[in-house]
Amino acid sequence: MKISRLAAALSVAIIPAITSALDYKPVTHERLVSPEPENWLMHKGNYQGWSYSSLEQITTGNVKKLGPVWSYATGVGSGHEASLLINNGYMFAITPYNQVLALNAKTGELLWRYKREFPEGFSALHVTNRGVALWKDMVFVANLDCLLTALDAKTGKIIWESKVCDWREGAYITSAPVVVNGKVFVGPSGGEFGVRGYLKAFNGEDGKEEWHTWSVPGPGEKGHETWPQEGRWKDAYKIGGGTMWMPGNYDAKNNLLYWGVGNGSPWFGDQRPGDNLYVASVLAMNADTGAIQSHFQYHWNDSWDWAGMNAPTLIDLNRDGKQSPALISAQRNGYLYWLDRDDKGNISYKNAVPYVHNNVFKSLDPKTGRPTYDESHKPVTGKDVTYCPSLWGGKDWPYEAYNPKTGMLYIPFNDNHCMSLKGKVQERVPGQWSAGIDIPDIKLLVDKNPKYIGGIQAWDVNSGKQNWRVEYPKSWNWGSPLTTAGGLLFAGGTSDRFFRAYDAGNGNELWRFKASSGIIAPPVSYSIDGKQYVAVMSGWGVDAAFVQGLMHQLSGWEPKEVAPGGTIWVFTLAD
Amino acid sequence: MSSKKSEAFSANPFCSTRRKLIAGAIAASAAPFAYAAEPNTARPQPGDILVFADGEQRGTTVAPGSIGLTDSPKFAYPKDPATGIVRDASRLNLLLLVRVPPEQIEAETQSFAADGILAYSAICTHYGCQITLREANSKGVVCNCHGSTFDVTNKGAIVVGPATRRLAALPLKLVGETLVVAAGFSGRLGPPTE
Repeated sequence: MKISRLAAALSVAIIPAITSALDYKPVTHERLVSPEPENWLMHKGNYQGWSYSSLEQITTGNVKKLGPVWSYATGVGSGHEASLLINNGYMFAITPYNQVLALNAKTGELLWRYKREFPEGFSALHVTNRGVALWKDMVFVANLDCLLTALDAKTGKIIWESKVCDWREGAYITSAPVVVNGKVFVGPSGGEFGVRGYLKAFNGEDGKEEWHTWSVPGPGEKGHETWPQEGRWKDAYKIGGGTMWMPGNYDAKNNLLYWGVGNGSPWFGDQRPGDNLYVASVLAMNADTGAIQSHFQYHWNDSWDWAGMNAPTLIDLNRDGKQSPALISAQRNGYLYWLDRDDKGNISYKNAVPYVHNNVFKSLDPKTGRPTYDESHKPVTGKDVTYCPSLWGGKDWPYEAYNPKTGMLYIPFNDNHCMSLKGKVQERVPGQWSAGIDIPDIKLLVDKNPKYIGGIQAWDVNSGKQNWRVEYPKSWNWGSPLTTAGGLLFAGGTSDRFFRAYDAGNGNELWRFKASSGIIAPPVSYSIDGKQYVAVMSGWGVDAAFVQGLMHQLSGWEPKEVAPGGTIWVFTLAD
Repeated sequence: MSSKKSEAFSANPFCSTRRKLIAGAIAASAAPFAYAAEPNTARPQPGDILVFADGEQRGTTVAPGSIGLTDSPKFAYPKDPATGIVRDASRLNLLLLVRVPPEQIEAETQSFAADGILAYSAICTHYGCQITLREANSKGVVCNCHGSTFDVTNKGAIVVGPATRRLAALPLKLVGETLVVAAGFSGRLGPPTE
């Protein structure tokens, strides 16, 4: 009885305080277009894709006093790749296998947890997830089993659920959904399973599908002529890949989406002769209708698994004293692209330079950016071919970051790695791998003692010059950086489990913290009651773990296995 | 995909094209998918025979002579010989069949084999991909998603790869010239789901 009375007294005392601290603030289109600095409302912080926080309490001068204030074990293994979202004291995390956790962002108390049930015999190539999306009082989750789910942000209860794809076909979703004006956009993965890519839009209120745009055009559609029209490969477009498996960016002024398109399927271009639009491209799309306004293809007839899924970052460049809308993107093929864009969504090539070693492109057409290939480094069916960079590219899925105060783009890169592939014809059986090569035949090639592989490059977006770089002698870099108005760059990504803060201006390392596992999720920043926090999930896995095992085997790198297991970390300055 | 399989999956409520749920109706429940105990979803039963799951011989009874020593894994479903029902409406019933020289089979695995033919779950215990490859040395079967390799001569033990649980075997015996299921699966099926 005493305990009950005590509990009653406590609840009277505490609950009103908690309730007032955690009133849920509905997420509107206006808030998403102009996100307030104290929150982190979408995976990359803003629609332009900057991974930038304008908070400036934590600076180059005081970052040494940064330390953890709370942490939370997710209880889930495998690769944690999601950005944490913060809305007015609520923190939303999503783990592999689509568990969603809502926590008090200040105290680390769990508010609710959503656990996904998967169908019997369920299969997916990867079980990671890259973040939820917020709108009104809902949390949107794009699930591995191809369903898009709306949860009540305050309770975690399901409001609606809609089908995006069919996992039995080899499709699965790891992308964060993107919300624009009450529409939810998402596309599946599955480019190794003969899935033909697409993006779908759903009504945020009720989950009704509003539009569906194929990334690989069908008969009668513009671009279909770049696929075989007759002969053995005439149906190649039906299994052509080009999945839109990473979230896109958005030009709110002109209501235009900029979305990346993945690799060709199967991987070997001689099984689908032609340019293969829109594989390895960026598409500009009308957000209301899904209509493709224009495209830019980074490389034609993709044969390297160099997926173009990373959406370009939207910036304004200073051209002759005038601000000019542009796109910038460090692509998996190892080139850094500058593209122009206009109010109608027309994309045009401006310039590109290699930021890692690429031995395939002999030259780029100065007007169109179209590469000429050294055919001896283009993988084909029936013959061993080597090329650089390997399929993991100069940068895989991790986001680049842009800081408007430094004018620099920060690229988490990997260099000094190559690949050998020998293609074969694999009949597509729905739900089975059919990339044109068996997994044991994918051969990573690195020097016995590579000088470095991972690192970070900082490029001045206006001058087009590299300002600084750091290199990791004994690690790849699998981490998305966060940059802040405090002049900092926060980055994990290395196999030594460190979370680091660099001076964004010159690359000097100012602070580090050894986490419980390696960090492959993007860091975020927010503030509550005037105090700035930096938060990130640790949890090594997926390709980072696979490649770490290979590096142990090929070059003796340690550890063979980076400690697995997910943890949410929240840091702030010591008082 | 057979029509039976499609029907079974469309009975799964999560596969409807669009569902509007009353808030709170589902999230609170932790009930797993309620598959009815239909004969075509039930796990293999002792006495079941095997039929090919794909290819030109799909649906025909697997004759021992059709599994060669150097063949890649072949795929089969169990079939109830009394009712003629093929248990192909659960992906977890997909079997891979390989033949190895009987003397290479380790002692504890001998009882699973029928004239050197071994049946295992074809669903990888890592992420649930279908295991489709066989190593040149013939003991290992390999998943084509992440390379997990299992030793068919040693109760499906992990040889290498990210999987953390061995592959379950389905013990077989020969009744006359017919391959017959001798007992249920030797372990858990498919990947962990959280």
